Amino acid sequence: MDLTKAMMISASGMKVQNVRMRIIAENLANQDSVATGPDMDPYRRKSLTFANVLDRETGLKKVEVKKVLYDQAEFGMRYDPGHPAADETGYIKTTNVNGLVELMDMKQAQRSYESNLNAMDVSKNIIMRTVDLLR
Amino acid sequence: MVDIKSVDAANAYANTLKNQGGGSVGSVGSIGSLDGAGPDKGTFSDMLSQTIEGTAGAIDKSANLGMEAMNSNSDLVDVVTTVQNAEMVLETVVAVRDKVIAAYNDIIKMPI
Repeated sequence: MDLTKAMMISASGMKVQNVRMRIIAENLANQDSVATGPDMDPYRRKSLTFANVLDRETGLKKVEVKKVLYDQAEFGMRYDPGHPAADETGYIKTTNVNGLVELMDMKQAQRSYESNLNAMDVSKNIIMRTVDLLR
Repeated sequence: MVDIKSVDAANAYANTLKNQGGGSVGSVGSIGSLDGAGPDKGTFSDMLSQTIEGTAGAIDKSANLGMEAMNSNSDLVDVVTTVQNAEMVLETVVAVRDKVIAAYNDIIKMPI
């Protein structure tokens, strides 16, 4: 039935947003993870891409996480000569995570999840209203 | 990914219709006899037990997934989708059953 299929698609959309939220949480939690040595790299921001995948069993086009990528942006530098990880000029590398970018990403994930949730709710309501006709 | 198509509510409904035999909608024979001794192969009790079996399958699935969720082995979205599907199947089957039983009662009460 098309409406139950619609619910399965919405479920796949919600799952993808769950993974996205996990990556954002990871980025935010590691916002202050600096390098552990003078020639080491700090935490590198992760991002992900989505892909349209055909589910052969049901013939539905679902969404899935395609790849988790590393953000290739430059690391930040902070002057902190007393830090054990500082190089000879006194700088340490900081992460390339930007809190504001993560915040916007998080809002977008939330809105996306909500719209999938609403779509699922509407599909269910249509089915239930139709069944109610029998009463 | 959870597969809810096998316990689809529409399938359950289609099966009940199929099991009523080849009789036309209006004929009493299409309902069959209660004890299964009637001329039609699909009887009323067969139909009831089959639909109830289908519903039990859907509910079983949702219960299993609920247990798995408690052990944090399964996705919350999967649990919600399966439980919702079980609910929809149950509602459909109950509504169809009520209708069929009402029709049966009407026939029984018919003055002869």
